[in-house]
This record gives sequence, C-alpha cells and structure tokens, in this order.
Amino acid sequence: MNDLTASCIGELVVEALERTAFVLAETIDQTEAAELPAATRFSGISFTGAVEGSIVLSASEGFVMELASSLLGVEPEEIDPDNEGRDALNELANIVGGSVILKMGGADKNCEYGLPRALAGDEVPEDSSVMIRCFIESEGELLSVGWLPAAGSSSAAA
Amino acid sequence: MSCNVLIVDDSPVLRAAIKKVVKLSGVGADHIFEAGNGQEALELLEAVCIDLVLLDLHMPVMDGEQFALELRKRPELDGITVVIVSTEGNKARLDRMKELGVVDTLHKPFEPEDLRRLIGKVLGVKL
Repeated sequence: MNDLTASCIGELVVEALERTAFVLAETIDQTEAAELPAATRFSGISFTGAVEGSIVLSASEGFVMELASSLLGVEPEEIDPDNEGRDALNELANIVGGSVILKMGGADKNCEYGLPRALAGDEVPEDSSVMIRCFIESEGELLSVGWLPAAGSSSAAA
Repeated sequence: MSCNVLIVDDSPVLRAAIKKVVKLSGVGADHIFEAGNGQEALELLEAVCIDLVLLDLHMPVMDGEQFALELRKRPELDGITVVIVSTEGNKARLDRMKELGVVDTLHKPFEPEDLRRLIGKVLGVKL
C-alpha cells in the first residue's frame, strides 16, 4: 500500500485546483488555516474495496464561490453557494478522491467509488489520529481536505 | 464544426465547464447536449443524432460502464464515438471500457486544453 501523507494530499489538491479550475492555491499549516474564514461547506466521498476510506472537504464559503465561478467562468456574485457552489465542491471531492485512490495504487487495485455528496456540519468526522488532513489557502479563503481510512482497513497513512 | 456532442456527467457544474471547452473547439452551442446519467443519455440518443459522447463513469441511476454496455446492444447507434472523462484510474476497468468501444480516456483533473486537443483528435479536426 503506498503511503499517504498530508503533504501528498496537499499536492494532489493544488494540482486538481490548478488543472481543472485555474485556481491558484498553496498548502498552509494549521496555524495559518486558523487565521482564515472558517469552513462552513462540506463534501465527502467514500471508497471501498482494496482501498477503503473517505475523503472529506471542508471549505469556507468564499472558497466555494471562487471555485464555482472559476469552473463556470462567471463572477463569484453570480454563484449560488447552495447550488453551483455545492456542486463544485462535490466535484472537487470527486476529483481529489480519484487522485488519492490512484496515489494509493488504485490503477492496479479494485476500488469501488462512491458518489460525492454535500455533508452537514455534524456529519463531518472529527479529527483523529488516523485522519490525515491538509490545509489549502486560495485568495485568502480556506479549504481543508482529510483522508479518513475505514475502521479496520489497511488504508492507513504513513 | 457541425457534429453533435453529448456530455454525460452527474455534475451540472462540470458539464457546464466541459461545454465551454467543447464550444472553444468549434462546436456550436446548439450542437452540444447534456445528460446527468447513462439512462438520460440513452433516452437522448433516441431523439438526437450524436457524433461524440464525453462520458463520466461514476454516476447514479446508470453509470458509464452500464451505458456503454447498453450502447453496444443497439446497432442503430453504432458509429458513435465515446470518450471517457472520469476520475477512474483502474487499468482493468478502463481496459473493459475499451472492449466496449471507448476510443480514448481523459483522466480528471484535466486541463481544458487537453480536452480540446482530444476532441479535435477524435473528431479528426485539426485545432
């Protein structure tokens, strides 16, 4: 099983944002993340099979608006956070999840992909010793991405 | 370019993003169609003559693999070019899709220029 680190997830996320949406972003640490607007939008996607676990995205509303507006080529003011914004974050979860699975050897392993979905705040798993989390900043807005291996699985972090 | 393109993806935002790129490839807006899953795509194919399908794999109701299987069962739809645009990276699954007639794959995340080049390549048009 290829080892996954927060730094590795961060690189995958930054690449996904740049390639798909031309959103420039960089990884930051938790202290820097605490200075940014809090996350209020959440999305997750789960995987089963040879690699088991979930990717959870937590984003500030401004980040979600920026992401959706970049994907659609419109001004952020034209974005409905509960419609295009939510969908854009779900699609980012989908893309990041696929990249993480590939990084963990998914090209040669049988994994079942779930469908990404918006999460309510109380559905977001709390940080734990098994979760690997990275923090991303773009235009002063926050995105946090966590990989949570399924309980009892071998899909653990380095 | 007067060919008809069908974008099949359960994400409305990504369909819109892909549609932008398809338009930049020279396909008129009235020649671009959308479906949110494989079932919707099959229904649309009964009504519209499509040349190229840009197909996501992971979708509700009917996923991309099921769609490709159903497409193969319909000889009247033979000749439609299908390209996968997906996060799927499993080699065995992608090989199965090739056996079902998929001609190429674009892995997400992709740059818009990659998609534009692929459209040009499969439609045989130099961009």
